[in-house]
Amino acid sequence: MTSMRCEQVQAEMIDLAAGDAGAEQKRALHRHFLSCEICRRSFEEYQSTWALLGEWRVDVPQPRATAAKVFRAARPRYGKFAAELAVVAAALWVVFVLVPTRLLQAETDQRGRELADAGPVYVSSGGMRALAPSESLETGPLERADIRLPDGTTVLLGPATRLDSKTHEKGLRLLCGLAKGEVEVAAASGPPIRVAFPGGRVETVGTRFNVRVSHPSSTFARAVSRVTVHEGAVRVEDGALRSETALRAGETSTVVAYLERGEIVCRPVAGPVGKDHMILGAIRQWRAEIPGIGKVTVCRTSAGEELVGGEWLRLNFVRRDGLPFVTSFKEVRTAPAPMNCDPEPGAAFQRHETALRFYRTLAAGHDQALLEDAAANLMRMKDVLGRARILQAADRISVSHPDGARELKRYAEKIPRIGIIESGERDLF
Amino acid sequence: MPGSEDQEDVDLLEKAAGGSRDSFAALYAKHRRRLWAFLVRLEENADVVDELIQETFVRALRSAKGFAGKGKVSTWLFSIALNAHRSRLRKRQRFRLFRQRSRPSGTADDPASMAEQADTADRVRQAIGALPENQKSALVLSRYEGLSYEEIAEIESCSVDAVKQRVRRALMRLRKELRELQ
Repeated sequence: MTSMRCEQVQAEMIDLAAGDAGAEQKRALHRHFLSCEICRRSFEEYQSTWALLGEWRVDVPQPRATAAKVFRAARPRYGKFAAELAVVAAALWVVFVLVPTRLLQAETDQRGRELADAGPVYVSSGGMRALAPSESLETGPLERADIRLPDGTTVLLGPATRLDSKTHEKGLRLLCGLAKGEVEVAAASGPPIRVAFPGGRVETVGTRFNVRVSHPSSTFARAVSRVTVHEGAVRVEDGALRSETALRAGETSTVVAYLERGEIVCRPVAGPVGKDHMILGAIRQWRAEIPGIGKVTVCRTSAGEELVGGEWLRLNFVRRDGLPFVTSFKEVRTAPAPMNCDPEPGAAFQRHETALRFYRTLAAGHDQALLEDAAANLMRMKDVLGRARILQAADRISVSHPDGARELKRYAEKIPRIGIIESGERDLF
Repeated sequence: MPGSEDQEDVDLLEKAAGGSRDSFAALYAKHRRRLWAFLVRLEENADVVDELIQETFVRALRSAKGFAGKGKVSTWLFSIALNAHRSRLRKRQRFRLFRQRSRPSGTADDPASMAEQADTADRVRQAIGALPENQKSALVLSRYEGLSYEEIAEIESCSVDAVKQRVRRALMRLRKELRELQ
């Protein structure tokens, strides 16, 4: 400590001035001050400043608030009555909330039993009503509902569930065609109850099971149906594999149906609907390519002889394997373009929609996994893009369709590592 | 090991939390003056300081069970007071004009000397008032309340080195500000 440097002394002299220096430190600093006039003056200034601070004194006045007042403020007046207040609140809750709720519930149950004795009922957020012999039911995104049969059988419908119900199907107590969502069946003994779902069906007597249909892709390209048995045993039939599986309580079976093979992409062309119309040509071609496809019906919103741009079309088909209710459809809105502007307004719209989805995927980031995922999505939608040829490489995706490629190129210019190859092909279907 | 005075504070606090008005009154009488002197150097508005004192004791009584004998009661009260002051600062824009200023108590009898001393004290008060908030509280606790850096670190919830640094910086600034008075 004999040879302290001025930089080191600068910090320590403040501690010394503030009375926070040890004996050894104090000695070393004073030794330094003997040899360094500048540091000594600085120290004296700090000492003087520290002393000057003592000039600011304050008088503490008498307290305005007495200790008793502060004490009362800290302890609420009702403190000692808290237990009594809690009892009164609980009693009021029982009288005004719990009892009326229970009474209402009992009344609803009684009405439900009366209705259920008369026949199947459908209970949803809209209330309770008799179920028609054949009815399409759909629950909202947050809604739950159930079908109750007179024998006590209950079919619970989860949120966002769509199913067709039939109560007079031959040999069955109830037939449910589950298109999407989730149902759970708790069946009493009696005739079979059948739940048909995309790609299969499950039929049972005196058991409880759950069927959940999910569409991992927003394009409805694939449906995954999961059957879980809670009580008893069921038989699950896989339509695609033509196989049956017996499931017992606690077991689960998954059936995957590739619905894109049954979908019809609607691409109306403005003009008269006749034998040579493009839609009919497309259906013929699909029939030739896809053995499973059955009857196809075209639903139109207008009754005119000619298709016009902007018209809504819905193409339904029923699979030829005979599974009921496994009906897929896709709604396509054609572009509201003037006639003769685009020979295929629907196609253009579809490509546009697909491209937008893809852009969003790219915009979210363009790492390898995301890129591959986007490419896979594009592959699934190749019919929409018109037999697009997609080359998937580490850093490259190409789309052969000129419209799609042009749009993609516009987007890809902003993103490095992605190249678009234009082949100039224009081959739809 | 807490001293007998500290242990007495802990006992008073426990009894006050249990509902003893007398214990609370004793605790209040014992610590109010120091807290007032501390807060008035940070806040300078006597009305606000009164409110902060009440708030400090109310908070202390309500959270007495959380104290659980950790450290000194006085340090804990300073910590609550500082937090109450800082929450108030955050809630409103600080005003610089004081409705009631703390009057300096001089020893000189002649009016000229009193005026000079008042002027010096006022300059010191203004210089300290212009310090950044964390430097100001560290300096006030060190210079006026005589707390050790360890105790200040506990109140400020920071390290001892940080406290030292804040006091050093405060003094460096004050040295410049008050140079002409020396």
